[in-house]
Amino acid sequence: MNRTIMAWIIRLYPKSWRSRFRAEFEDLLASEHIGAFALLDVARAATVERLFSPSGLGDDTMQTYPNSVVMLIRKPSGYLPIIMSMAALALVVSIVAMHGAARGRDEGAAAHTFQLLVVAQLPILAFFAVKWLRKDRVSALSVMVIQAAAVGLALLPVWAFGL
Amino acid sequence: MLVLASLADGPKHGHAMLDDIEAMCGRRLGPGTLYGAIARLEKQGFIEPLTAEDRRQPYRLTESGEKVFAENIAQLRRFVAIGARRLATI
Repeated sequence: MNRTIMAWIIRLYPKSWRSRFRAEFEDLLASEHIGAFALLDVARAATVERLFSPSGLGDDTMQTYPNSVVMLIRKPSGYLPIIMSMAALALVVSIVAMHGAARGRDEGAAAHTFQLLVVAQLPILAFFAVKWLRKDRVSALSVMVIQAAAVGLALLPVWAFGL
Repeated sequence: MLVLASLADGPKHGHAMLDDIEAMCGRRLGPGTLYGAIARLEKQGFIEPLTAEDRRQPYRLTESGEKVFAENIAQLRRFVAIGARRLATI
């Protein structure tokens, strides 16, 4: 197996897992025929390890390297933006359900609350990125993708209804 | 269970386990699946690493691993016996 691909695929695993199994896992990958099935299998196993750490190898380094997405998303700066996006989404949906999708002349309290919920996330997102990207880039990026998806979801009805 | 069954035949490293499991059940496990199982079983104390041979890391069953494997096999035997009896009455 190509060494560059092997290095990349092993990087999918959490740091603590790599420090324990890297040498023997590289040896196994080098001796196996690695086709699409095996690549998918490794990517799936690495994702499971990163998300849920079933081997428990993530626990010992959790204080400084919270090497699972679940651990990171439990941090206030991880979950607060998602909750704020969901609150903004619920607000838009409830307004549309009660008053329809027609845009009023005055934006009103609901629109200002929506804007506040979206804009107030920015410093929290920046704090999250600064704090965690250096320590655990892959997990932090995974959480940031979820946070971005939540913002996108909140903005979707605004765009769809032209509010 | 497949890893325990493979190691019940003696210590093996990852590649040998994959060969053995393929010979036993006709299907080759993916490397991610195998190492997911190895990491979990080691954490549970059912298998343990031996001295590494170069970069290859052999593993063997622990006492508690042997016990768990024996319990699983006994449970499977009961299941097979009941299944066979019920199949005969169909």
